[in-house]
Amino acid sequence: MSKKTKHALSLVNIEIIGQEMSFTTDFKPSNIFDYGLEIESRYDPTHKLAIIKLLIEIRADGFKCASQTGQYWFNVSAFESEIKRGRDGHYQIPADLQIQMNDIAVNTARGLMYSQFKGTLLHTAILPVIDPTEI
Amino acid sequence: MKTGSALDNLLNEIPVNDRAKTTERMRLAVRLFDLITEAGYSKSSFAHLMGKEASVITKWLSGTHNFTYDTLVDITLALGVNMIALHEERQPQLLAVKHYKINGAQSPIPEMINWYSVAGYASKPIFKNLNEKLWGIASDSFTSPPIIIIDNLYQGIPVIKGGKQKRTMISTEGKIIEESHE
Repeated sequence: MSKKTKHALSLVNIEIIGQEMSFTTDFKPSNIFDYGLEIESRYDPTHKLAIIKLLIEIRADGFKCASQTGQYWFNVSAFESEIKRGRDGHYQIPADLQIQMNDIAVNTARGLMYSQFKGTLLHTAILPVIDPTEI
Repeated sequence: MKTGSALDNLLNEIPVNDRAKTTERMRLAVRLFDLITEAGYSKSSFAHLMGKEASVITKWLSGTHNFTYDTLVDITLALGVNMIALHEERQPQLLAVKHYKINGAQSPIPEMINWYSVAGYASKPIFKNLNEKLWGIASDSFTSPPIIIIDNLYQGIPVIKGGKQKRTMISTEGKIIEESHE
């Protein structure tokens, strides 16, 4: 049985880069949606920050009706020793730390989208709970 | 009288122009090293790519080399970046890009499909739940609002099964057609 490590991460900044909603004139409110996620991980060794850029696209009946892009900045100074630089010069973040950051970013995005979409045609578009190990 | 350290005095003896040139050469060398490593090259593999000896690359990265513009163009072409990249601040290194899709996810919030009103009460929404059952709230009491289940639509008329054995049939306009107690 694998041992899971919980890292005491701190989310230091949330940056909403963009959000858009667009509807066709015949758009009907629905409660079935398709979601597409793009998760980009970056590491800033100068400031000891890991950055998760998360793009979420929402589609209804195959039509893209909304998207949100946000950046979530994590302070990883406590884990500097765990972040290794490979021979190719690329940094490698431990898998469990990466999973934990992805989980926090996705769950925070769910709350942000819920508050933004409330009262709109997309008020039922709630990002489902995702197993972070699958991301 | 103002006195400085010996190091400050020595630095002050260097002309401003020379200091700026040295600083810029060091900065460029560091930036080049970052671009080379980000592109996945070691010193020797980059030397091979450029058709140079490894010692030449070492000199380039020492921070003392005075690059010609042509050499910088050759380097940027080899690395697939533009000249501006040489002057940019170091970007956070990209570690991974992942994609994930969820198709046909049903919202946990029931879909509101219509409104109805019963005489004496304000309009209330009718929802459709995950099992495609229609339901709503029968009274204005928030302390114990009986949830009504709308069994089906009979000729366009919702048949509502209420709490406490009460069965109500209302028209789509919201008028009570029939009320019975089971």
